[in-house]
Amino acid sequence: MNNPRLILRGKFLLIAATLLLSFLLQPMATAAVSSSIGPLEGPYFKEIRFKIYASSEAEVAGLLSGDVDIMDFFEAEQIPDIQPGLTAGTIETAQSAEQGMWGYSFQCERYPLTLTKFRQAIAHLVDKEKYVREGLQGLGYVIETFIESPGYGPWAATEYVTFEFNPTLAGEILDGIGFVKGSDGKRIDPETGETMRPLTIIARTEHPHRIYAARELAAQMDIVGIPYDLQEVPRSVASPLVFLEQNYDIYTSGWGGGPDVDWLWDIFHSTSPPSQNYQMFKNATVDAALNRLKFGSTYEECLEGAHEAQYLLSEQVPFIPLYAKAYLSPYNARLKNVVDLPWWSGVTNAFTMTFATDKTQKYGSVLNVGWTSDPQQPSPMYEINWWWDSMLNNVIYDSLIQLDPTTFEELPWLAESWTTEPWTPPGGGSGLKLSFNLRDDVTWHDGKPFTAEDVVFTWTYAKEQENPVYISYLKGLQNAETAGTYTAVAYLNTTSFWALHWVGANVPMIPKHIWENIEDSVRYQPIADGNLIGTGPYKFKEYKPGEYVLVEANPKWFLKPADSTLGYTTYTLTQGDTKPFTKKVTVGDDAITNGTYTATVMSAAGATVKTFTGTAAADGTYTVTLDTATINPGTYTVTVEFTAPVTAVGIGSRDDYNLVVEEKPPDYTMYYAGLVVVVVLVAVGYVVMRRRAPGA
Amino acid sequence: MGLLSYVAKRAAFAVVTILIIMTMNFVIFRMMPGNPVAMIADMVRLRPEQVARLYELFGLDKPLWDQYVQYMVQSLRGFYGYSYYSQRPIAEDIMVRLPNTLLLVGTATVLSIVIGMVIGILAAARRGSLVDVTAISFGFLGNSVPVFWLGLILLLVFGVDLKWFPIRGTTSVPAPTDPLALVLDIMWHMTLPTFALVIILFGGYALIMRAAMIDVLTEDYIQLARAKGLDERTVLYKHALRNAMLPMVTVIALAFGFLLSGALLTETVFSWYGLGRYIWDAILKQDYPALQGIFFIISVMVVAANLIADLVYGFLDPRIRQE
Repeated sequence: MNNPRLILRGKFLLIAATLLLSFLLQPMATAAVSSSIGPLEGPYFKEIRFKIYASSEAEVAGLLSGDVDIMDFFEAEQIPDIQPGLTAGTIETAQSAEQGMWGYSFQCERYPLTLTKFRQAIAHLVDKEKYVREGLQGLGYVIETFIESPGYGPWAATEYVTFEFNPTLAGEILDGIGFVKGSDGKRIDPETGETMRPLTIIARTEHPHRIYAARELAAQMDIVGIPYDLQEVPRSVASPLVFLEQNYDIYTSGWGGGPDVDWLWDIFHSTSPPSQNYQMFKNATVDAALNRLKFGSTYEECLEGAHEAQYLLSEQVPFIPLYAKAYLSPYNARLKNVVDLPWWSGVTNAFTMTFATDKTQKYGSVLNVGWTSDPQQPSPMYEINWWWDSMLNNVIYDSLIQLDPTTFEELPWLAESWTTEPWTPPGGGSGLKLSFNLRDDVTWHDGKPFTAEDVVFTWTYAKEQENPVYISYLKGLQNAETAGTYTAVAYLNTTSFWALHWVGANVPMIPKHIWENIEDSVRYQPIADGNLIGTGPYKFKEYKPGEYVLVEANPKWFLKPADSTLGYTTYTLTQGDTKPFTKKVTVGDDAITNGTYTATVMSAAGATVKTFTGTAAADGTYTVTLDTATINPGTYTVTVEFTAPVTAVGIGSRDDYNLVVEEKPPDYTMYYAGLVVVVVLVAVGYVVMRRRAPGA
Repeated sequence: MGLLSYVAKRAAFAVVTILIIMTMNFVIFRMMPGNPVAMIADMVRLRPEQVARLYELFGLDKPLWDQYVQYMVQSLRGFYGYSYYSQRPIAEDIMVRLPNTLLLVGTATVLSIVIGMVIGILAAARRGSLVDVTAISFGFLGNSVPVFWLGLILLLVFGVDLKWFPIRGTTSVPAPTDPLALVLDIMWHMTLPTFALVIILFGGYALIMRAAMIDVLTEDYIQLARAKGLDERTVLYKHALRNAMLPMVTVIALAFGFLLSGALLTETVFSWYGLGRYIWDAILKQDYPALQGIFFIISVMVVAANLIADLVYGFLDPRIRQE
C-alpha cells in the first residue's frame, strides 16, 4: 500500500467520485411530477406582474391591449367587451362548466319554511330551463344536486329527488298542509287563520341573473297566492341579513366549492356555524350522511355519504339548486399550457402561473395578471383567506402534497411520499399516524434548507395560534414530531379519509426560522420585514400599493426543468462581441487536460444555434470564447459544459446563462466623412462664387 | 365691527362648521345599510369567532356613543383610526396617495384655469363672433360630458387602439429606477387622465371668465379707457381683466379647496392611485374610518378655503366687515 502510484490513484478516484457526486447533486437535474395534465415542471416565466386596476372595464381594456394576459374575474356577460380580441385572435378562452352553483336558500328556522312540504311546494314553482334560457342567455346548465358539475366526477349523486315545474301541484301541496287560498287569493296561515306573512326574498343587485331568478320566483309565488316581499339590494345590505343575522326567508344564493367535497358538511351540517349553514338547516339523518362524507375513513365510505347526503338534501329542500354558469376564462393567445380550474377563477391560478409558458419564448417571458384589488395582507397566517392574498400565497408557498387539477388525486410535492397508519390516541379511540417523507433538495427563498422541523413547526404553530383559516384542518392534530431530518409525522385523533388533505394539502409550509419569533401571527405583516419567504416557484419581489405586486421565478424550485435558465446571469452583448469563459480543473495536484469545454448557444425554442469548443492549457485551465459575430440579434440561452473521462463515468460541470445579442449599431463614420466633405466643398464653392461675383 | 372681531367671528363659524361636519360624518356612515364585517364575511365565509374578532378589532362591538366620543377625540388629535381594509392607519394611507392626487388634480386644475381664462377672455372680447360661439359650445359640451365615459373613450382610442398611452396606473410596471425616467414615466401616465379632466373642467372657468369680462367691458371706465385712445389690448388686459378676476379668485380658491377630494371617477377609470380612488374603494368596501378620515380632511380644506376667501374679501372690501 505504500506504492505512491496506488496512493495517487486512490486519491484521484476519491476526488473524482466527489466531483461526480457534486455534479449529480446539482439542483438543475429535476424530475417532473406526473399529473393528469402531463408532467409538471416549471416555472417558465421569469416574473409575474400582478397589475392593479381600479375598474373591471379598464382591466378588460388591458386584456385587449396586451397589458394583461389573464384576469382575476371575468363574467360571461363581458364576452361582447372582448369580442375584438377574439375576432383578431389575440385572445383565447378556456371554457368549462362552473364548479359551483346558484340557487335559492331557505331560512329553515323561519315558519312556514320550517315545513318540508312548504319548501317542496316552492320547488315546484321553479322553471329551471327557462332560467338558463332567459336569465343566463343560455350560458349555463340546469343542475339538480349540489356537486353536479362534471369536474366533480363520481362525487355527484346519481339519485336524487326532482321537482317538476308545476304550479298547480304546488298549490295542491299547499292546500294539503292547510295553507288554503283566502278570498283575496292569498294563502291563509293555518296556525293563525289569517293571511300568511309575506316571505322576504333577498336578491343581490350586482348579478342580473340573481335578480331574474328572484323575480321569476316572486311571480310564481304570486300566482299560487304566497305573499312575498322582494328586496333587490346590494351585497352590503344582503350580506349582514343573510350571513350574520340569518334574517331572511329566501335568498338567491351561490357558491363555488373546491375539489374536496367535504365542504358540503360546512354548508348543511347542523353544528356548522350559522355564517356557513345560513340555511339554519338541522336534520339528524342528513347530519349522519354528512358525517360519513366528512369523517368516513375510506374513499368508498365518503362517496356513499356524499351520495346519500345529496339525495336527502334534494328531498328535504333546504336549498333549491338551479343552475351552474358556463365558465369562460379569457387569456392572451401568446400563452400555452394554461390550466383551467373552474373552482379557482378559470385559468388564473397557480398551475397556470407555474406551468404555462409563452408560445414563442420558452423561458424568461413575463406573465401579466390583472387584479381589481390590492392584496389585503399577504401572509400565509392572515386570518382571512382574501382572494388576492391567496393568489400570491399560492405561488410563494408550497404544501406537502398537491391535488391534481383534474382528478384531485394527491401528487407528491414537498413530500416525496407518505404513509398512513392506524394510531390510538392516548385517551383511546381511533386515530391516524401520517408520515411524510420530504424532498431533500428544497430550500427556502432565503437559502436555508427546508426540513421536517419546519413541517412540525408549521402544524403546531398554526394550531397553537388558533389560526382561523387552518384550525378546522388541524383540530384533530394531537401531536407532531420529526423522524430524522426529512421525515415529519402527524398524529391525528380522526380517521377521516380527508385527513391527509387537511394536514398535507391545505396547510402551506412556513419557515420556522422566521415565524418562531412571531407572537401574533395573524397581525404580522411579513412583507414589511422582507419575510414573505416560502419554498414556492416564485419569490416575492416588490409591492407598490395601488399599482402592482411583482414576484420573480425561484431558480431553485424543486420542479424546475433541467434546461431552465431562469434566475441565471444574463449577458447582453452587441453583435460581434466576444465573451470568454474559463475554468480550471485539477484533481488534487494534478491538472486535468483531457476534458472538453464547450459553450452551446440555443434559441428560445430549444434549437442549437452554435457550439464553441474551448482549449485547455497545461495547468488545467480551459477557455472557451463565445463569439456573437454570426449570431443574429435575439434572446438565447448558453450552456457552458465541461466533461472529462477521468473515471469510468467521467466528471463534469454545467453552467447556464441567458444571452441577449443586440444589433450592432450601423457605422456612420463614412457618412459623417462624406458629409464633412460635402459641407467643405459647398463652403469652398460659396466662397469662390462670392469672390467671382460681380461687385463682390 | 373691527377687522379683528370680523376675523374672530369668521374663525368661530369655521370651527363650528367643522364640528358639525364631523358629527354628520360619523352619523351618515352608521346610517348606511350593511356593515363592513358582513362584506368580509360574505367574501370568505368567516367562522363566528372570526366575526367577533373583526367586530372587536374595528371597535364596532362598543356602544354607538362610545364610538362617537372616541372618533371625535381621535380625529381632533389627527388620528383617524385604521382602515378596515388595508389595516393601516388612515393618515398613512392618505399620505401615500396625496402626492398623486395633488399632481394629477393640481396640474389639471391649473391647466383648466389657464385655458379656461384665455378662452373666456377671447370669447368676451369677440362677443357674438365665431370664436365666442365655438368657445361657449365646447365649454358647455366639455362640462356636460360624463367624465367616466370620456375617460373610457380615451382609454380605448389612445390606450387600446393606438397604444400611445398606458391604460392604467401612475407608473409603469415595474417603475423606472432612474429619477428622470421616473418623472417622464409619471408624466406619460398622467397625460390621458389630465386631458380628460381638462376637457371637463376648462368650460366652467371659460364661461365664468367670459361672463365677468362681459360685465366689466360694459363699465364706464372701460369706455373712458377706450376714449383715451388706449389700444384694445391694454384695455382688455390692464383695465378689464384685473376687475373681472375678482369672481375668478373665489372660484379658484374653492377649486383648490376641493383638490384633495381628487377626481373620483377619473382616478378610478385610469387606475390612478390617488385619494379619489381611495374614496371609491372605501365606499365599495364600507371602510368607515377611511371615509371619515378623508371626508374630514376635505371638509377642513374647503372650510379653510372659504375662511381665507372671507378674510381676503373682508380685508379688501370694508363694506363686508361692517355688515
